[in-house]
Amino acid sequence: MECQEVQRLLPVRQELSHEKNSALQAHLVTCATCTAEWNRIERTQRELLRLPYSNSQPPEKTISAVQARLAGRRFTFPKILNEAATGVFLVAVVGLLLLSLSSLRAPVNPAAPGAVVTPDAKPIMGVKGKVTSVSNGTIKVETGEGIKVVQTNDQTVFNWVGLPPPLGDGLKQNGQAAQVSDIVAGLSLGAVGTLTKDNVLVAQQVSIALEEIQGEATGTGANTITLKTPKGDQVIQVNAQTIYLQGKQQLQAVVIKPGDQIIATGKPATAGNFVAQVVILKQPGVEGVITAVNGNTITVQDQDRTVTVVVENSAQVKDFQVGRYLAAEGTVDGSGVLHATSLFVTSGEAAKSSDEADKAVIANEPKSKGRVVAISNGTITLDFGIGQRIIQINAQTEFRHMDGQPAQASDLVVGAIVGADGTPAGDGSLIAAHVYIADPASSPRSPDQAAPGNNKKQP
Amino acid sequence: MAIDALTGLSARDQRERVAGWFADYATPVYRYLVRLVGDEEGAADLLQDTFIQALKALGRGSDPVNPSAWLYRIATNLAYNTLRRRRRFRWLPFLGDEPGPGFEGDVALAQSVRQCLAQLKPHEAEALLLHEYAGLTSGEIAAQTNTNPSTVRGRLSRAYAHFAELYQKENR
Repeated sequence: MECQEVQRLLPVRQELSHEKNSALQAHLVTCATCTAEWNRIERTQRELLRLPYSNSQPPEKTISAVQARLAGRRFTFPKILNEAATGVFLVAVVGLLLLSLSSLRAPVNPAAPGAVVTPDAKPIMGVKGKVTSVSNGTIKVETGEGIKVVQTNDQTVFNWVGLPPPLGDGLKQNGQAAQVSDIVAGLSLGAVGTLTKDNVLVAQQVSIALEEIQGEATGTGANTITLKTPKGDQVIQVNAQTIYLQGKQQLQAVVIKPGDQIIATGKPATAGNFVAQVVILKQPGVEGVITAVNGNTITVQDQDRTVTVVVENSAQVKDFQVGRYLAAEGTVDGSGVLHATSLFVTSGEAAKSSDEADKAVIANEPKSKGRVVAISNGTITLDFGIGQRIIQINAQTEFRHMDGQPAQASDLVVGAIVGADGTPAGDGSLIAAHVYIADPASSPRSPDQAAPGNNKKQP
Repeated sequence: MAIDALTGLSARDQRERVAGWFADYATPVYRYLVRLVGDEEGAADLLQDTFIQALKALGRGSDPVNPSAWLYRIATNLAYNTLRRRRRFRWLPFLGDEPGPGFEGDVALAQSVRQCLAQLKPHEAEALLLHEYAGLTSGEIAAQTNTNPSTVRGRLSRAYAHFAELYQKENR
């Protein structure tokens, strides 16, 4: 099958015969371009599902108006004249009578029969900003364009937003129910609804932001954790409902130790303490060169330490060879061994599964990093260990270091470890919206410990 | 009574036929319209227009083999025109340089999907809406739009690509 034909068939896969679907599947396994296209269609179909289904019934007045019309109780005048001209005058007279009747029976539709009614739906507007005051359901919100007034009513839906993924993924759509009394000055919120003539936003939905506190644990109490944050020490409260996460894993028994990096999310403390709904322990990880491989135990030389990494999935082990660059995240056991839950390794090995390479970039995870193996005008080639991908750079592409600091296109060098997100192009490449550079050579942390790729490729 | 030369139906027959379709399809077509335009009042008006247009089209000699698909097509084009006429939704900027959490509530996201749909080319939008939301196959859409399934598949493929591009831009 040709790519062009495949791409035409992808949107209508469910219509195809079993044979054709098998042929399509066979093509997808070998073709990164079409796999990227398939991923894009699937994603688009998910986005299209954001239009909610309706279970409502047409309003009575519409039904009776249409039925009246279809029962012949309304005629347009040209038609009456037309029928009169053909000699059916009586029908016309009856029609006129019925017309007058129908205007009594079905007065609900003011539009002239046959006229196309164009509903003038009010545009949905949005406001987001910080609450400055609340009173009787009227919220004043400070936005970049001044103070806006948001009016809530019985129909307004309130929810909390901002839980971190993976919890937040599900909640993004449903939110966590909130109420108007949760809104106090100082909170960040977003509201959507319609504008009145006086520029008041009548809110259909108000999303209140959960607060996020990030810092390093310095101490713990019975139900508290003290965090050192850029704003000073902050004490957060935890309770039986608090969820603990490490990476995407939910933790059952948690002991917070001083030095742990923590991100806590919860309802903002209006008075007193912040109660964490979710506490994320940043996952331990390592990035460095493989110095030894022994079965599924790999020794990795980080910038300032040597870490033993255990790979649970032994099928991947053959990819790990001394000298390659490895990044791993996971959990650390009592003896300091990192049990990897996610990892990648660079290599020049032939693509084993190109769609995995695709997913790696498209998933929009800065974790999916590859090594730059070539740079040319407007494109970079990244090697993901399981395949290579061309990343297109344009004037809109933003460059950042992995720590979020702005970077320059000139920071991109062959050998740099880079993550990217953006839009897949038709040819299987990715048009980058963001490029994250993790090149240790340009990192302020350790200028003398360059990545192996750099040492090899950069004179 | 005047008999239509093309369909052989009198005006009364035509009205009765459309009345029969209305009894069968008013509810599903209405729900489809609510989903597309997002408000019940607007959808009710479009429902009425759909059946009025159907009656007029019968009067002009149309003789649909697949009335349900035919009605969905009329409804689709009315909804698409409505979406196109709407003023654009916009966010007021967030205060200062705070990153601001994602406020993509249901309403805003659905609205943004509608905006992107409204920006598709008419043929692309028609194919996409009929396929995605009315559940018509490419063959059924082809029959309604006087073209062949292959053309419809091409339109669908372009519509997905175009939508994805617009949606990405909108929700970056």
